[in-house]
Amino acid sequence: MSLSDAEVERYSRQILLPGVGEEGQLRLRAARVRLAGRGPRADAALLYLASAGVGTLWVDDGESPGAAAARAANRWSRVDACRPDWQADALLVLLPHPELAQAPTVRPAMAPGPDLERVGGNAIPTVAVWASAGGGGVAAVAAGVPCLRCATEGVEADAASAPALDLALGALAALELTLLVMGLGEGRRHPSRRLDLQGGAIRLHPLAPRPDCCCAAGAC
Amino acid sequence: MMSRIDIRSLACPMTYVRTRLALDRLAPGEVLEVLVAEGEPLENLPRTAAEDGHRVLSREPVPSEGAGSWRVLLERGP
Repeated sequence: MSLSDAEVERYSRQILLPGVGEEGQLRLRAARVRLAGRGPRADAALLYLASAGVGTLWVDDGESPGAAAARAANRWSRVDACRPDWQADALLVLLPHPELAQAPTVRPAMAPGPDLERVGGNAIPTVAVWASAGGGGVAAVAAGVPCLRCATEGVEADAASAPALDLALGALAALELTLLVMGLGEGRRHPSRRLDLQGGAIRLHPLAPRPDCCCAAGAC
Repeated sequence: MMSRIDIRSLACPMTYVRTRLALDRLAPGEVLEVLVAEGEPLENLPRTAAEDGHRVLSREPVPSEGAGSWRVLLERGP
């Protein structure tokens, strides 16, 4: 499997980035990403995920008002409203999200398949993004622990934020998800980490499960 | 058998994009022959390849391929 001439031209500058190459671009093309949530951060993330070459984007916002626009804006990605029987390879979730309020993880699809029956954290690479007073953040979790509840501990997500901040957070979330999908980072595996934006600065934290959380024991 | 690409009809950055894709398909130590046009591509290609960790084995004009044609041999890095 290889990229077409048109794809090589389209993604040429991204392909040249260290560690991406044809292999990374092919992983993006094969990826099926569920985008759970709605709003300006979701719109920004959708745009950047499509522009990066993610092959299939499932928009799970209840209405999919941005899907048609995204499809028209970028003919390189397939954008559809999420269906209950579709299984995603990666997940980007906008906080606050009702599923996370009920459980430590957001389901990778509406009806998990037999290959995703493992418990204890996230079965697929997952990124959560939120806005909060004066900033916001992104949690990127490679498949496995910690669960999203641990990854977003202490977050007080606020739906309202400035348009420029929404754009930055959506773009940052999309970038983290593409890195997870391509498997980039230290040792060719993008690390689970949290990026907190406050006062125009980004602080990075490695992510780990809380000792008292069910995900630490794989028992969520 | 040595791999070979002809990028004389391409402009930057596609010259190095095609070279990078061809190098990615080789194993470390294997050699890629690149036919490149003199001028900016000939100046940029070996430098960028070296910056990416590949080894420039040689560069020489090849009049038999047409005026301004050069052959650059690159050894894929680790």
